Amino acid sequence: MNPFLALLQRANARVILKIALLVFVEIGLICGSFFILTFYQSQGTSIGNSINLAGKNRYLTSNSLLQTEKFLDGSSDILKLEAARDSLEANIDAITYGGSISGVNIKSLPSDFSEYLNNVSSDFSVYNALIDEKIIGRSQGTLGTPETVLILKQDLEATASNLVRSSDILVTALGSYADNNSQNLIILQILLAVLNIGILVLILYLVSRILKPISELRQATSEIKKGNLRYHVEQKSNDELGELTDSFNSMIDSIRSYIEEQRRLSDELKTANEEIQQREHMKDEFINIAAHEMRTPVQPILGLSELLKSLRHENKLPVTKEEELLDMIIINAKRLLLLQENILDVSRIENKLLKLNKNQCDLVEIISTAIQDAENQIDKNMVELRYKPSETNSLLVVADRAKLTQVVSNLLNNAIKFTRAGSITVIVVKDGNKAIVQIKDTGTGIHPSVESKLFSKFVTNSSSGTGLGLFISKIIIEAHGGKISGYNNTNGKGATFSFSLPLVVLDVAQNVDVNV
Amino acid sequence: MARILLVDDDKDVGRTYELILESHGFDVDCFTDPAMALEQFKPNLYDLTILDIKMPDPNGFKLYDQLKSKDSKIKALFITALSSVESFNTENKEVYPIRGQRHFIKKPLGMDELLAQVYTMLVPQEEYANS
Repeated sequence: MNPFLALLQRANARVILKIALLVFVEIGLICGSFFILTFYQSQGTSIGNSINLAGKNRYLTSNSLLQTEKFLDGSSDILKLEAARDSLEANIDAITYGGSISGVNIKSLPSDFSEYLNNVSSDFSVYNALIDEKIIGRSQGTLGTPETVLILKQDLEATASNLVRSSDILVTALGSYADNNSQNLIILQILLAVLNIGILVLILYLVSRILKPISELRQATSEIKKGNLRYHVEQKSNDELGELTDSFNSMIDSIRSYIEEQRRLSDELKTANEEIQQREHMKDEFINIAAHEMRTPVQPILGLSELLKSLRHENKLPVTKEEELLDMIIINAKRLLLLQENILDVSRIENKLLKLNKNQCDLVEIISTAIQDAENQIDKNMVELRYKPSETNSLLVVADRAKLTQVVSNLLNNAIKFTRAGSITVIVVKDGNKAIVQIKDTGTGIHPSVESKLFSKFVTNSSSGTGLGLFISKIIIEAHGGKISGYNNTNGKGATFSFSLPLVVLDVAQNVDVNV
Repeated sequence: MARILLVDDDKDVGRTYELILESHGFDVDCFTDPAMALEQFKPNLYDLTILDIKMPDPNGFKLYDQLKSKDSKIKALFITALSSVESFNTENKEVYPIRGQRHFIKKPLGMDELLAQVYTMLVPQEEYANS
């Protein structure tokens, strides 16, 4: 199971358990309250009945006394006396029946009550015995003298008065007990109410503790749904719900960082894709340009060879013209070769297969040869080619002769291409342990848009050219431990390209693999 | 004999066409700078112009438009080493054969093909229509 869900369930289970426990306590409390209240109510009713009965004693005692006195006065018969006395007895029996006061167990009452009850019983016994002994069973004539009857009446009144008093004491005691009980009941009720409210508040608090964070988490999920991955749920407690909130927040963080990572990867992929597309586009463009550049020198080779053949057939070919045609054919063949070499070199460089076959060779001689080819390319009426060789006749370097020739040819071709009129000056000098070659022209100069990326692949200054010559030249020169640079002339006319090469003389020729 | 204006920014290509055409009796004025060719252009002098397309400003198409504005009857034979001329044909002109007016062919072309194209272009339009 998902650990997050497990945590949610665990957190819920614990809090729900707490709530269930509280609900159980609450139910217990309500039931207890019910029983206690019922008990108090029934006790109250019993005590009320007892008070009624005990109160009735006063009247019944008076009535019994009255009937007794009437009998003594002869104004009533014994039956009425006995009836009144029996009612009183029945009432007292009712109070004291079975050792309880009208259903209220005496044992549950304070010990005073049994004493009060005993007093009532004994007072009644005295009163009753007086009636039984002195009156019941005697006829009217045997009651004695009026003085005796008077004394008897006084005795009866005194015992009745005792009975009334002891009954009153019982009534008062029961009343005060009932008052106490009712006060206790009120206090108990208040306590129960407070307890109930407390437990209810606790339950509500616990429920809110579950519901609030859950509602906050729900709010958070809806925020996340809207894409707000910066949303955090405030952590308010250190318990399971706090842990849940914490875990939820770290889940959001994980999701956010995952999404951010995905976005970053997607962006990278997009950039890489764009780069690939751009590279593909550049490649297509390069193929078109390369095809154009390769077809161009083929034109003079093809056209002039055919012309040469045709003129020979017709015997209309002066020697000077033949020379011119052959020179042009050779130049363009070399041009084609250089172009082809440049294209192959780019492929070799990209596949790290460019191999330099280094030997000791003379830089001055390499340049002189390249200059001869260049002279055939320029329009001598428009451009002057000046060559200043080093005063030391030869400058020995360890280099790949063919590659170095390629560099010089590239630089000279560029100078010729961009100089329709003016001059091209080639200088070769020795500077300490390096040779410096400088090719300075008075042509159109380097366009500002390409100045910063002059030696990058496919960068061209004009409507023609493959943009490979300088790129390859830089790599070749650097692979020989030299440096190459190009800049516009300070006088604002034309550009200068120069490179340096270390003048190291080795006795033994060597092949060097160069990874570029 | 017909007089031809030849503009190609590649000196050797221009010289090749010039030598071939001159060997067949044409009068050829050859330029490597299209701006200079435009500057020195004389209306009603040329029977045909042979123009390269990919040249520093103006390119072959633009040059043709400007020559046309100076000489409405001018005919042009475009010769290019480009695989596609779409990027230069900004006004989306129909550069492929409209006989007698302008025509588009690809480099490199042999001597006979060049001459055949030139002769075709030089046939007056009405004559071509009748043939």
